[in-house]
Amino acid sequence: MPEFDGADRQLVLEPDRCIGCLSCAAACFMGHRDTPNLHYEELERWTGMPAVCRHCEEAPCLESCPADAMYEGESGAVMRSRVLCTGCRSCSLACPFGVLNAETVRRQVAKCDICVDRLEEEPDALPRCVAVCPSGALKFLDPEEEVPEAGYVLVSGRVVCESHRV
Amino acid sequence: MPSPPETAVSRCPLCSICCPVGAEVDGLGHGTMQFPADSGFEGGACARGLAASHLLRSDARIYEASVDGRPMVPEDALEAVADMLGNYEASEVAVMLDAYRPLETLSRAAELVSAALPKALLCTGLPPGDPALLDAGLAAEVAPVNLEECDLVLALGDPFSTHPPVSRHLRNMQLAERGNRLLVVSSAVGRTGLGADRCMTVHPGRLAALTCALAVECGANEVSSALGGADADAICDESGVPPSMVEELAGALDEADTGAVVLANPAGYCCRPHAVVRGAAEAARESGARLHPLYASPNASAAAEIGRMPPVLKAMRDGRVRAAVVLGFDPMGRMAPAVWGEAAEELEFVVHAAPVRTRFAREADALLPLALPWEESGTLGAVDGGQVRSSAWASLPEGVVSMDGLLEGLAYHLGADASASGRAESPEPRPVPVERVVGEDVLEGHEPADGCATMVAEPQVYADGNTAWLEVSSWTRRMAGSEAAVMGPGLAEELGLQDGEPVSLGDDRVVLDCEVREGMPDGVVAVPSHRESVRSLLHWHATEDVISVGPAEVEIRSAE
Repeated sequence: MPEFDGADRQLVLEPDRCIGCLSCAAACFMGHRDTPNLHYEELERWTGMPAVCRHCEEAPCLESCPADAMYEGESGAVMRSRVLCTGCRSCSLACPFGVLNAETVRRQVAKCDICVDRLEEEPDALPRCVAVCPSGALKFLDPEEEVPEAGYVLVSGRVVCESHRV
Repeated sequence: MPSPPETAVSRCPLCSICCPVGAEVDGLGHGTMQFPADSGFEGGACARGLAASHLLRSDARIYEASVDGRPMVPEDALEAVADMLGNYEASEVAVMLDAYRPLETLSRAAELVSAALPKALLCTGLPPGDPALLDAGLAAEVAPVNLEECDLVLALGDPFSTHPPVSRHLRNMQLAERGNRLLVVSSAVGRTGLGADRCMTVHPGRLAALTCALAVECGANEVSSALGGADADAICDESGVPPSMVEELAGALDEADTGAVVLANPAGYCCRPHAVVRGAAEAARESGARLHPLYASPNASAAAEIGRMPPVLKAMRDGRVRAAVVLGFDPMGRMAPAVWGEAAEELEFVVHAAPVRTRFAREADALLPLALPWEESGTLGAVDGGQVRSSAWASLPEGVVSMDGLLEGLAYHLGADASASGRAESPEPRPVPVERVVGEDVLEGHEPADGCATMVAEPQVYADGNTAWLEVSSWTRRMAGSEAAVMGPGLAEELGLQDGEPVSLGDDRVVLDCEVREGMPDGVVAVPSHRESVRSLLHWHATEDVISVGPAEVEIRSAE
């Protein structure tokens, strides 16, 4: 199996390109039928963005989990053990971005794994939400090396780039 | 892992883009989408394709045939249906095929119908937007990827909703260089309008006049002579279209080095769709802009050659058709319930082969479980003018029959030679002369009466193609988000409505939440068209040639 090397790449969003079609949320639902974890949230009346785990370097959810269900994977992504998770919602409360939502029925907390099942199979593959984005608003790249050419760029929930059209 | 060969790629048949996509169904009834990493636009489908996969194992899926309410295996049902059809002359039977099926399936179906019921009326259920593009002689032969090379794109309609993958190319075009612009002309502010550099909205009754005035301003003599030699100013004066809008659009097209016009299947959602399409096409030709007609159905041209719906509906209205066999689509979901209802009044026997249980399926005399489009392999006509092979996303569930298999069985029981072929070659469809679609009526201005608004259908990415899905899939409805009546601030203020408050349409026949959106034309309300009660409020034209949605005047008031 090829080695998964997703540590350098992050989910990047250009809000200006988002057309609000919800394909990202639909793809997440289809791929993680048990615990879909990407939600499309309205920021303002006509602006929205996919709200998904930022995979923080110093992840508060990881520190807060009493069951050690949250852990940092080899790739650097913050992962959740489905076996250990008890659905106590500690991570939901700790998450500074409010993107970890508890699943009350299954008593588990949905957690973005950047579609590690796909990336392990094919290192150049993309997370499902990125793969289906029809406008190119969602990207999966190394923000230190590849920054989209224009617009606001959100990485880990922060604006890291505001460039103007040239 | 090596890339799969082209022939093994599954395609989404739900619009003419034919995106590579796939789905896997496990033994527990769960579907999982697959997105080939090496296929096109980072490999995947829009929300429409994703929603489609959810229907593979929908609760509303039909797995059992029935005749007169009695369940039976498909073979027995086909025999019973053949017996019933034997009571009618072949000329009294209409057969209607789903246009979203592979070319081979459509062709084979036409052959089998010709063999089994040689004098039956045969047609395909095209989406309402496509006939206007076909009648203008517009071939889907220019790949939308070239849009990225343009410095100006004029989009008519809402391509981000009807063909979401196009949004990538248009966004790239906008951001490639300062000055590259996306202009949108529509009767409502949709997804494309919200992302445009300039969005111009006009009353839906004036959209045809606007495009014709634009064509004349760009130098289209044919349109001008069809309107009695009128110049652009005269058209604007008569119709109430702002002349400045026409001048701005014509100037922008003229100044563009590499301009393009995208006809984003507007015809299903506007008044006088043939005139709108013809005006826009002529304007593009005269200004040297590249034209991109975006069809809703991948095989529109081939489906139209087999036969169109309006003449069959007319035969039904005239009482010449007594039995109908509807294969693969819900006619009440693809057109107004009233249009179908009026035509179907005289029908004595209705056979419906359907993948999912809709209201129409429940009312049919005989019901046959049919494959979904993505459970059949075949060839699809793509938007770039070429043809692509598509393999089935999923295998046929037990008890479900492919359209080929169903028609072969029916032909056998009707005593026809199922191997018969030799369907007469249909002539290439010719463009309808411009004077037949551009006439004085495009100059008619329109103002809604007091207490009324003009209603247009807002294209929704989930609803286009087959509105039945939203009705039968709660997941799709949830993903599609809230349904709303979209209006401008002026109309909202006039009605005393705030954003989110309920609004009543059509004397309380429909109540939706109000959504105030800047830029909407005065007196216009845009509504989602997938709900039957809303669709019944829209005004549909059904003549011998055309079925199309037009603006409808509807009573509107606050529901509080």
